[in-house]
Amino acid sequence: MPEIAHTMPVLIRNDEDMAMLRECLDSLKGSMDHFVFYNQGGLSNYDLSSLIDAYLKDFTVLGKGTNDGIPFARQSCFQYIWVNLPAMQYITEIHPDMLFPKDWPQKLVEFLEDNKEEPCISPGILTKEGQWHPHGKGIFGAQIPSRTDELVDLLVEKQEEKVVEGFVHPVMHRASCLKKAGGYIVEDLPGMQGYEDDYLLLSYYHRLRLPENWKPKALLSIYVFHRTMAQRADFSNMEEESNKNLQGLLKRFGTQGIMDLQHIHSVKKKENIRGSIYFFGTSSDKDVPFIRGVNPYIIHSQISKERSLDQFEQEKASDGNVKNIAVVDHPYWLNSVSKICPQLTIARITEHVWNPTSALYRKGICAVADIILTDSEEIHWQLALSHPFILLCPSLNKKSHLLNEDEWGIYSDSDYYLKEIIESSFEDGDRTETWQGMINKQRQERIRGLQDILEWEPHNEVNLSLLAKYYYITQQYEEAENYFFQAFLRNVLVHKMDGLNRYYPGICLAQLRQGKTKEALNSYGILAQTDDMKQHYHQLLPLYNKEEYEWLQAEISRLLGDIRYARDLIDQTASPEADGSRYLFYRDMLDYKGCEEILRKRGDGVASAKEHWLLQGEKEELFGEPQRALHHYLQASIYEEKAIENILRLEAVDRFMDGGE
Amino acid sequence: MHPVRKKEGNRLTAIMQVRNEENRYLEEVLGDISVYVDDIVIIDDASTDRTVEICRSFPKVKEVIELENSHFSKEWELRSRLWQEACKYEPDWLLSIDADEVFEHSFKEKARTLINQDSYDWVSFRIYDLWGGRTHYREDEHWNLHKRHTMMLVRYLPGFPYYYLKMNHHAHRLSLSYQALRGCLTDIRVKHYGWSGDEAERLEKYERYRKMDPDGQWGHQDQYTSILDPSPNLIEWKEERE
Amino acid sequence: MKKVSILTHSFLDAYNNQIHRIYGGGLERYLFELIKILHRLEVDVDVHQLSYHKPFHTQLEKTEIAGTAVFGYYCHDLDSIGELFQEMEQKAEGSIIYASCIWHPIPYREGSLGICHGINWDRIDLTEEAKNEVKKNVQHAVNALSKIVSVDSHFLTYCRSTCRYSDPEKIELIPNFVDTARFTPSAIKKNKSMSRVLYPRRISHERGILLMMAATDIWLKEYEDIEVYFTGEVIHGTEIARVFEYWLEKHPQKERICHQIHRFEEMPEVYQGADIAVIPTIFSEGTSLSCLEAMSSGLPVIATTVGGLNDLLIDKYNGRLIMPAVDQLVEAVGNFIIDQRKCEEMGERARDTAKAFDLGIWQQKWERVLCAYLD
Repeated sequence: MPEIAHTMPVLIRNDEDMAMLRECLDSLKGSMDHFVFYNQGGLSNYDLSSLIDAYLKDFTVLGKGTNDGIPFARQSCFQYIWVNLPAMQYITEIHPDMLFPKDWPQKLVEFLEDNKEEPCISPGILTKEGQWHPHGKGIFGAQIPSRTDELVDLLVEKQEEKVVEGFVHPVMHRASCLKKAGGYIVEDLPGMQGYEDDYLLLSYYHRLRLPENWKPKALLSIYVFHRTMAQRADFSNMEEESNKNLQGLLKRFGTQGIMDLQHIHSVKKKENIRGSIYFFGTSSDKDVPFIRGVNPYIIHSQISKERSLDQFEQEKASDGNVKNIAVVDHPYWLNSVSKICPQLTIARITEHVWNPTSALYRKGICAVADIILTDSEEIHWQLALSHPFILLCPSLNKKSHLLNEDEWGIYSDSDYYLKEIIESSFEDGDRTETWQGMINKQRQERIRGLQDILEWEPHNEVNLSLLAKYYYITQQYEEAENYFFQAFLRNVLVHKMDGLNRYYPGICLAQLRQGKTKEALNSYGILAQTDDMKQHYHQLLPLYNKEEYEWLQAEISRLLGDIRYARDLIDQTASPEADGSRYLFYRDMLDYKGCEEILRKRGDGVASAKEHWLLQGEKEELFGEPQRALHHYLQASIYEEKAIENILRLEAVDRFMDGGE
Repeated sequence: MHPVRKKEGNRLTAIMQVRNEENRYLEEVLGDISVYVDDIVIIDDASTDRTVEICRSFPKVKEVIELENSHFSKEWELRSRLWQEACKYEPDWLLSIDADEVFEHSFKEKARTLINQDSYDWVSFRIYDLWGGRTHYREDEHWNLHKRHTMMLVRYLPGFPYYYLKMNHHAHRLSLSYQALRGCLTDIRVKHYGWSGDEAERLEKYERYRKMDPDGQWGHQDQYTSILDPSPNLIEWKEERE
Repeated sequence: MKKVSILTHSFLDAYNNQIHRIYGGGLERYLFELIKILHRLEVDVDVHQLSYHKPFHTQLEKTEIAGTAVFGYYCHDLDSIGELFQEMEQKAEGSIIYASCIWHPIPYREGSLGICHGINWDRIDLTEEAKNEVKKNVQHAVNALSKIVSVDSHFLTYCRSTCRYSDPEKIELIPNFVDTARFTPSAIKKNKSMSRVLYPRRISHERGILLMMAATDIWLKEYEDIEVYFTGEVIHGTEIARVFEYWLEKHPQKERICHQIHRFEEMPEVYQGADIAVIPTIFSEGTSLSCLEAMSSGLPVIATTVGGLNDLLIDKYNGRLIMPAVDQLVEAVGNFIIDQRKCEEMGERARDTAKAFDLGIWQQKWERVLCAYLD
């Protein structure tokens, strides 16, 4: 084995740093290489030496326990090696927040032996965020095991015989090249940290006259775990420090240096961060898919919310082009979603969040979602009547496993859809066209499938009704009516008692859509068995007699759930008498502006005042400041005690967000 | 446009299927229902006697549909046809009654209350098989229709689907789809005179059933056999107190 | 020795299953004072009450009425109060005092004594049927009982206007009391930077807690020098309690809101520490003990025009009488803050008014009633 020297600046700020260092040394235990440490502070040289002594045989400790900055510390190590250990053929830069698999330098040495033109080589790394760098930057790729041995196993398991372009630490330098390039010339790099990597790469590029298209490389047949950035957080004036180094870099290499850097890092550039994807309410242990160039954040508690929203603020500041994507797995996260102003909101509504308490939030999330995924055909049907874009993904709520590892981290059909939706929104064209295509395809396939099944089993009530629903949402209303009737009759024949409520709404809507207003109204009348519905029906009859057909149809559509159609119809209704209906629509659609307008027309009065407060409350609860919502609801509760139900809901949602539910 | 369910002003239409009823109970039954229904629609299954003539002699009979060929062996078709014919008049309520059935007296008063409401769409009754005369009804393992409810009175609901199982004999008298709606179970009694004749008549009926349903496909063999039971369990019929 | 059984829906804290203590409401304090009079008259007293967890039988310890036996009857359904009172009546020894629930259908023991603590069916949203039902029940009570003591003039008027009876003195007015020697104005002149608004009521809907919370939101926002002090029992687990606790926890100015439950002995000091008292009742109010105590403590009181509060206050003379609406409540406190002089003047008159409701007067009136009843 050729002679290798490893360099490591050590700064111990707290117990955590200490533990990391111990773990790091433990992973290096037994190494026959030489190690040069630079004591940046936290321990005396004596204590540091005693500590290291337990793990390593051949080492030196430099420095006096003061934080002299990264470039200075590294350069001191290099110089020590050049002077005292001139036989060293390879010099590495390693960090105390790393974990190494056994014999990790060997493959790097082999690579440098085989590729004499390369001045340095990095292994691949796994970061604490579960990303594989440099190739998988910004992509969530693995859960980090909590046990060290399992972590090391993971590093070994993922090894592949592959070289990619990119630069990360640790890095192994060819000692002769490093010396020729000069290392970190401290006069140029007076700052504590920042740009030293770029400086060194530029030095290689220029001083060694490397080929024009040269790029640093990483060998993926070896992986190291790097928690990364652990030390950076400590510099309060990091920007200032790194700015000093940038000035030095510019002084040395000029603006051409920046152009060259762009080239050197062009691998990175290709993998530019295109967006951030925020998973709201996704449980942390569930794998989320990785989509190239999109940073995932998982928000499942108040704490992760705060952290990710901070992240959002930072990203917003640094890059205006980054797209924010929200994937919402529980409607209670609605309020947080609005805080990141997503350019794309995808709601995933599964059966287990479909309960009466979440109804308002569900409405809210459907109102803001650009597209909805659901695992239930029943939800799919209901939401298809109120939302233009909804896809059915039966596997949404199932524990997933990786389907396709090479390209995308796709775990299931729902991830596939997710990827397609996200990709389409990065493209220039009209994303909704892509979505509509996917939706149409899915629905046509389902219709064909159901037709096939029904050929073999023509009396299956469930399938008859499903087919009716798919016909309905694909605008084939005559067929829909026919199949709803068939499902109804099958229900009757097996002596079930729920046929009327199950299928008559569909029958009635399908008749309405065919323009058979009279039939639809009769069907509605037949369906109206409860007092509320009866009363409503008797309000509708005079509308028919006054030929207020749009209004009448709008009311029936709203009551039976075809909200999209209802909205179109009510907008066509000119009659000012329809304001009462219109208000209920707007309320149902969370169109607060529309509601306020009608309330204003109505003028003062107890009922208006109460409604006003309730509206304000709801608006704040769903999209603004819940604290203010509480105040508005309180005001409403003065007019009607029942309004405290809203406050109780606020409390319940809060408890849920704190993980109490 | 009227509401599908009216709380008042409902018309009551009786519907009846008949076949060779001349010397049986037809006149009595028509006379009885003429008192409390508004009109009557009848389908005649190719009678060869004066049945149609008798029917037409009652002023409340709105229409008699005469079939040239008997549907006796396809009862569901007959029921279904009668339903369609009656519905073309857009009736309010339909009372399905056979030519040998008579309601007990109290129904005549209650009928209007039962139909002038908007909370249920069908009404059921208890049918008693009067046996060997009009003083007793039969009750045993095979003869206990009165222990169940039989839907005989339904509200016509425009557009509501009607559906009969394809049964050749003993078909449901009204559409099964009404089961999906709310109904009212009453204990009002209906006297069925079909078995109130003498032994010879019963024997004749027995033989007719045997012929049309030799395998017991549409009814129970045991029940057919029990028609001839020499000492069936008979219970005295008591008219309700006025 | 004579014996009296008091039948009531509440005395010991059976709401929270803490039957070792008397619940901190007005009714319970009233009964406490009543028992003291009975003891003075050498009458032995049992109390029969409802219990919401399980039936119980206990004897009061400590306090001035130690030794009083209390029986709890399990109540799972408020519609069964009539039957439960009948059960109490069957178990009760001696003469009976029906001390609450006059609006319920109770099968009274003929000739007994009843107490009405105020009208509790004065909610504008209560249905006509329910109000007719009450009318029937009150007429029944008037027929069956030999006398009904009313704490305010409103029940008197209610009976005169809706019931038929012959004895003009059948309903006797004995307004509630306050121990004016105990509840006295603060001796020290206050010179604090903060004005304290006190809500000395239970945390319940009829007592106007929502109105108070809604107004508090606005006061705290508009005035930097106001703090709001809630002292009153909470029935844990009720919706209104959850709303109140959540509101407290989340309030952006929560450092200026306090909720503290005090023992009765501590209350004089609580009143002395306050600058304004608010009694924002929505419905169901007699001559409120808290209102009288606040008045006796020389506090300017803002109360609503509900029930017996109208018997205690004359608007802008010895306090404020307002409609139960947020804007009126907010404004009334605002006016007090602006016009300190007026504020003090009303406080002084309130103290004077309270003296007419002194405990001694009340005791005398009750003694007369009891003696007549028990003889």
